[in-house]
Amino acid sequence: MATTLGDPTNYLSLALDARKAVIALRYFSKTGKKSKELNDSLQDAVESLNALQAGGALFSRLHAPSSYESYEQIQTLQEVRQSMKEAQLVAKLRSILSGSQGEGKKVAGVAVRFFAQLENRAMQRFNQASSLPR
Amino acid sequence: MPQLKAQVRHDAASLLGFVDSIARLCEQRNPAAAYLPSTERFIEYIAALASQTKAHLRSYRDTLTDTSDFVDFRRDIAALRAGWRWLHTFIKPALDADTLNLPAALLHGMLNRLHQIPKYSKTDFVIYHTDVFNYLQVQLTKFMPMANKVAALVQGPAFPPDLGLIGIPYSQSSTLFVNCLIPHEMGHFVFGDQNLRSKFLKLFERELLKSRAISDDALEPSRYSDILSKWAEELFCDLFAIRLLGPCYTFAYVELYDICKVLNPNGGIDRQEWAQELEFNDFYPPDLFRIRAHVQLLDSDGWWSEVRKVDSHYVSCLAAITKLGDRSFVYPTHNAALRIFLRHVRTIQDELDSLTEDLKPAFQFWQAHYGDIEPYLQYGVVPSSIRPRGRSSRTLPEYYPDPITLINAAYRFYIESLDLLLSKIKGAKLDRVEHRSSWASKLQSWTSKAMEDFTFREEALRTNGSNLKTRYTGTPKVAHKQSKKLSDNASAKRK
Repeated sequence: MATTLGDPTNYLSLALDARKAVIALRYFSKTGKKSKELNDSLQDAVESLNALQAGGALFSRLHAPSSYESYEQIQTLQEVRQSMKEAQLVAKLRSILSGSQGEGKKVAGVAVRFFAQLENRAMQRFNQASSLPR
Repeated sequence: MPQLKAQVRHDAASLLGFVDSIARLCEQRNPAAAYLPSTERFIEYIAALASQTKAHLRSYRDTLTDTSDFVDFRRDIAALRAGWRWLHTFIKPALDADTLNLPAALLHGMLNRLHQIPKYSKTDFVIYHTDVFNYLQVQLTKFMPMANKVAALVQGPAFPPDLGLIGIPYSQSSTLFVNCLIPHEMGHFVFGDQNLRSKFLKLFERELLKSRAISDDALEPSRYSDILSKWAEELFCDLFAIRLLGPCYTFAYVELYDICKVLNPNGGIDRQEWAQELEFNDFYPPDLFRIRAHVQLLDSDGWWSEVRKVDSHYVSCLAAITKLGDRSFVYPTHNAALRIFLRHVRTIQDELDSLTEDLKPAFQFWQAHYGDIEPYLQYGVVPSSIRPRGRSSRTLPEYYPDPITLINAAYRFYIESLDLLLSKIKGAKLDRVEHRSSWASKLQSWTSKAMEDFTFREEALRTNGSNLKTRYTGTPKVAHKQSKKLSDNASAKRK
């Protein structure tokens, strides 16, 4: 799908949020401790992915501040969701939020991969968009 | 190929050098340059963030243990470098904008006005120079969150929440009239701070889905909600600027974007010839739509009853634009979405009214004082203190017009009465554009000087512990009596 590059700031913002989530997930994997940053990132991602899957109203289902407030950010999320083809992605993210430490650690790798892909794609778009003459 | 640890060490050193070069720029700035306090705060923030970033990079030796740590740290480096590349774009431009290269008096007047809104009584703005000929919102709504996201990676300091950034074209740094566009950028700060974008996103999404104007495929609602919210933000910022500054914002807009090109010799607008000026795009409402909204607000705020009498093609253009109905405007991509937006323009003004209810009306002072100020400008006298003539040649006590009154008076004089000034200048020709331009520039200098004098006087009175809250209340006579009393009290204290 051809993507028209949008505001580079939106892509960088998403990339930095995804980076923060990866760091928090790695800390959780090592120590079993869930930071507030991790909970917020997971909650935000779960809400947004659910809204995308359901179709219809998206913003109405989000709590501000969200990492997915602009069209560029939502589009990037959609692309990663579709490319990962990860069955039960939302369920796995949710299990880290609300499941036991053991359950969470089992699927932390999936979550890291998800946020890492989000980071990669958003960073690539930022680099491309910020090199365009404006 | 070197081992992973050595690779990461190299990458960390490279980023440290990059960040260090930025930090040195802040440390080694021109010692002769003076900066606004807001710029000093910004520079201090950048220096502190740079220091923390370097500390984070140096710490890799102590914090990284296994292979996955090193791989992840490399991603950290990439994210930080991208963040610093983004921050970098604002730093030298801010350093270039020392006080000699800023419209400081105008800024002070605008900030004083903004500070009348209680929530923004301490807000300040870093002004930086851009080489793009446009006033940059700097994504004011985004700078602080972005800076904080970079800082979060290195346990760095939070960006001051009451500080915004505004970019002004470097070539216009000392002019007055064109910089009347600055309050639009302040509007972006307020829009973001109030989280209005989220509010409008939800509103438009709901309306779009309810109207069945778009499909409910995953991305369609968000795409058009996003676009309509951008329009709402731009319109809000225009209206905020007018509420803050008055009609000089609209005059500057008309001037900078050559809006009068749409005016035909009969004083009307040929909609076929200028069809593209009536089109919304994915980012902005068209200028003519925005100007129409300006005039509507000027009308409701009382300005228009006087502005409409100003004998200038700018005002003729505004009058012609007010005749454009909603049906004149189109959004070729999705006209139904536009209809939804148009139904909610009133909502945007309601938000503005709610936010600015503490702003004292500025129109009455301009209406009362323009007749006094105009002769000063006509004779090339800086209108810092005005001694008006009463009836029967009785001289009324002098008073000191505030910056908002001054800038609007000067702009009116510029577009309506510049001939009166030129006709008094030996050698100046009314039809020589270089003469008109030169004396318009001087007019701006006099106005700027009057605004500076007002600021100095305010500071002097404030330093002497006088209450300045009465400055904008009452009639001009009452305001004068109050300010004279303050001045007399200050003098008595010094004795």
